[in-house]
Formats: sequence, structure tokens, C-alpha cells
Amino acid sequence: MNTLGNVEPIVKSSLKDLYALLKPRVMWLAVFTAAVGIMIAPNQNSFFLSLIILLCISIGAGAAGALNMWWDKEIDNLMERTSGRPLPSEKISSDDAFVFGFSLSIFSVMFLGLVSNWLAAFLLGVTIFFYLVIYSIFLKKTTPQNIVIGGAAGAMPPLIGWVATTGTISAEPLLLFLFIFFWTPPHFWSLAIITKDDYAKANIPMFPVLYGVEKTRKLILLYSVILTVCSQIIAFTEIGGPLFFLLSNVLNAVLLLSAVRLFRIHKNGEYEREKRFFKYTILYLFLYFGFLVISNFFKTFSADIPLNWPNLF
Amino acid sequence: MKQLDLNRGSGNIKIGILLFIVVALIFSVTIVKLKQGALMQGYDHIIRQNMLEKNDE
Repeated sequence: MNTLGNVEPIVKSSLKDLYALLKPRVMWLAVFTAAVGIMIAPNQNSFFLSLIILLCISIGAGAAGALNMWWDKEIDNLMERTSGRPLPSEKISSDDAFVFGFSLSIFSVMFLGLVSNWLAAFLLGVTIFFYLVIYSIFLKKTTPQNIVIGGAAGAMPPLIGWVATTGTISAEPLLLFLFIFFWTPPHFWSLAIITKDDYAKANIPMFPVLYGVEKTRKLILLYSVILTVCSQIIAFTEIGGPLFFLLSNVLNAVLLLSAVRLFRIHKNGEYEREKRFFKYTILYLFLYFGFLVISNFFKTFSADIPLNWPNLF
Repeated sequence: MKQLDLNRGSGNIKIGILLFIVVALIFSVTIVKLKQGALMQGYDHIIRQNMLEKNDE
């Protein structure tokens, strides 16, 4: 009798595959926004502890990505855009992916709690849970509002970074949360318009699949307007200021203009406008948070330039 | 059989490096936190006044 007969072939996964399992692009976006949350928060920690806090949030974000890929293996296989991911291309086994994602989640939450505080750790845990269970398992395949509600998970990193640094939740990080929350639909839906046939094939009820391209463009414009309003509120808080107000509204003007132009086209071709809009939303978020850092960086160094709002009340 | 051992060997080294990094991380965080004045002692048998004051800060 051959005792080795039923042994499954061992999948040798390389470090590169494990890295791809973390959804690097989404993870780096989370790292960036979390870093900004840490940097602009009052009561700064030492540089070393801030770095460790950022590391914990990055690992948590990557773990959430891995768990999402573990659950989405079948769908990812059906879609062209995602068929190259490590699970559908069988570079990593399903079980390995789950163990990897799960243990990293536990590690990141526990370590963040030990390094900073348990409120931040709790928020990180909730975020991972929300992304896997609420978004990936329940919402994604059931409602066209999937990415709107699910976007809450992606909006958490700056809040977690802020709470890990200060120990309390205040208005500013909640506004940053709302900002990314309202940024997600225009960002994701412009991509979903381009790849809507792919989503239809995988039976995912993305908004453009269900309600068509024109209606999606209308909503992209609507959310861009809400995003701009949210941006104005941020500009008038402690973390904003005149310089930030000016810089951010240059970004907002371009955003609104592109959204209006997107809304005005009534033909469906190669979706060139959507591609450009999608790329711009990434640049927009990157620069917006960059301007926040710049504005707050100068505040700590020069009192001469009017970087804070005058006290009117 | 030799190849299997080799594969296992390289895996062991990777896990070893990983564990070392984790230990180094926890150790360095401990040192930094102690330097900032975190308490090394916990409540074991009696509640001590100096710990209560520290927590109140």
C-alpha cells in the first residue's frame, strides 16, 4: 500500500507571493493615510514608537487584504483583473492564505494594543472584521452599495493612527474618516465602469452593472460634491488652515471639473475619461493628505506665516 | 529525500529570521517604553501608591 498516495502536492509559496497576498496597493494607501493621521495628531510619540504603530496598522491592513483574497478566491478566478492573484493562480493554498491572514490580524491587533492603547487596537480589529465579514462576505455579492458601505474599512487607517497616537477620538480624525469614506465611491465606481463586464461575469452587483454607466456617472458627480464639502470642513478645523484651504481647493476644483465632464459624456467608448478620472482620484487623495502634512509641518516651525485661522470667536 | 530536507532547511531559516525579528521588535519597544518611564511592575499582591499615581497622570 502506498501511504503517500493521497498526500496533496505541497505548494511552495515564495515571499513574493505572500507579499502579493497582502494586497500591496491597498495596503500602501492605508499605510500612507495612517502615517498622515499619526503625523498630524497632537501629543507626538517618539519617532520609534510612531514607526511601530505604523507597522502594526500596515500589517493589519495587509492581513485584511489576505483574508479578503482567501474568501474571494472563486470570484477572483472569474475576473480578468484579479485572476493573477496568488490564490486563483494557485501559488498559495487556500488554507495557507487563511492562516497567514488570520495570524497576522491577531498579531497586529495585540501588538498595536501593547505599543499604543487598546482603543486603537479595538478599532483595528473592528476594521479587519468589517472588511472580511461585513464587506467581503455579506455586502460584496448582495448590494450595489457594497463599496460605499465597505469603504468604511478603507477609511479607518488615519483614525486608527490618530487614536494610537493621542488615545482619544476627536472631530478631526473622524472628518478624515468621512473624507476617505466619500472619496471611495467616485474612485471605485470609475474603475467599476471600465471593468463592469468583468464584474457582471463574476455575478457581482456593482452599481454600473445594475444601473448602467450614465447613472453611475451621476453618482460620481454627487459624491465628488459631497467630498468637496467635507474637504471645506476639514480646512476650517485645527488641522486645516489658510494655506491648506487654498491648496486643497485647487485639487477640489480639478476634481469637480473632471466629474462634470464625466457626467456630460453620453457615449460609451473606451472609457478614456473614466481611466483618467480614476487615476486622478488616486493623485487627489495622495496630494490632499500630503498638503495636510505640509501645512501642519510648517505650523510647528514658523509663526510668521499665517498657517492657523485667526481666532474670531 | 535530500531535496525535501533542503527545502525544509530553508524554511526553518526563514521562520528563524521571522521569530528573531518579532523578538527584537518586542524587546526594543520594551526598552523605549521603559526609558519613557513606563512601570516595570504590575499589581501582584498589594496595590501600591506609586502605581496609582502613575495611572492617574
